[in-house]
Amino acid sequence: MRSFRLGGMLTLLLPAVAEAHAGGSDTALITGLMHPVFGLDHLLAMISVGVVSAQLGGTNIWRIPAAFVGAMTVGGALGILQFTLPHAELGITASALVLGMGIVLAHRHMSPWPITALVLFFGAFHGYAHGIEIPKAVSPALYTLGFLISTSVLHIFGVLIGDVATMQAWLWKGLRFAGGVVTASGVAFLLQALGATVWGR
Amino acid sequence: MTYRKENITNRGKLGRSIMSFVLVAGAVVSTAVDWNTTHLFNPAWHPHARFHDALFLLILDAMSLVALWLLWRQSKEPEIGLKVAALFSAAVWTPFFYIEALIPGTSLLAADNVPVLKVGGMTFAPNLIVAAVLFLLTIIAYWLAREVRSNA
Repeated sequence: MRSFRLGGMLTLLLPAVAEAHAGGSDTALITGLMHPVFGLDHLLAMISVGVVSAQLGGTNIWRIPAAFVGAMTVGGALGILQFTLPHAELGITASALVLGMGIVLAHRHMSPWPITALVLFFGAFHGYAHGIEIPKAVSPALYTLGFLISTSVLHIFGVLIGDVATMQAWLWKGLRFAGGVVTASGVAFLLQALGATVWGR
Repeated sequence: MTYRKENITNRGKLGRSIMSFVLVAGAVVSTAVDWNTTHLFNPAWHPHARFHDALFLLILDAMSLVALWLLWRQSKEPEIGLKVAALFSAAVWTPFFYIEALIPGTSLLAADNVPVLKVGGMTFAPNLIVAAVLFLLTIIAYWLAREVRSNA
């Protein structure tokens, strides 16, 4: 059992062995790492996932971000394979709105499942957006690894924000207010995306 | 719905989880970035330079596993494992900040066409940003995990 665990950890640590001699470039991983950071809608949604998971507390702290990253992986694969996911941009902007509302409303004693379901749903859209925008001639595996690690880091920062907010009442109130700001930003992003996709402007 | 004074998170476990993420992500990113023709299999590199890159990667991966084990093993002195994991992580990521200054002729960038971040006229190598983020997370993770011990 122990050797099995050790083997699993080694496999986890050395995924790039599969890329050996493939002629890949570190540009792929770097582009993937940077991709989630330079879109405000992506950034807010991913930090919000961490904040909400910390507000729910307990094992939700890792379960909800893990659900998002898992759904992102599936969505990313669909995007890289050039599947069509209609109105993906609307899904991403709606995620900022809904997760912002999550920050306003979430508390320890509520069921985590509605938020988990939403996170799974929206995570797929985020992953799809990263996957479909993969630059040509970069390794899909390294690019995907990059945006998954970057997303995980953003989730961790969100968890830390949510955790720090439990220390003082005014921080907790501030967090609720920040959730309202994220919600308002989500509304703005959504209107912008609706203008671009539905009304063709 | 309201603020509760008690901690809703297990900070010790959160800190150790973040430290584990830093160890795994650092090893995976380093291996993935270097295990290709820009570094380890770069025909322009002297074989001994490639040997040293492979040596660094394998030591990093092995030591990350050791640090993970120290971090999560059952121990009467769990703070030792935490300190070793944090110091190991710091030892890996801090040289990114001074190697170029310390050793002339070295560069953070593997090639001229590696994308860099430009902010306010300043240029930041992507690996420097990764190192900064992982070092910051190391400090936060240590602080979170250590806080629990001091409260115990």
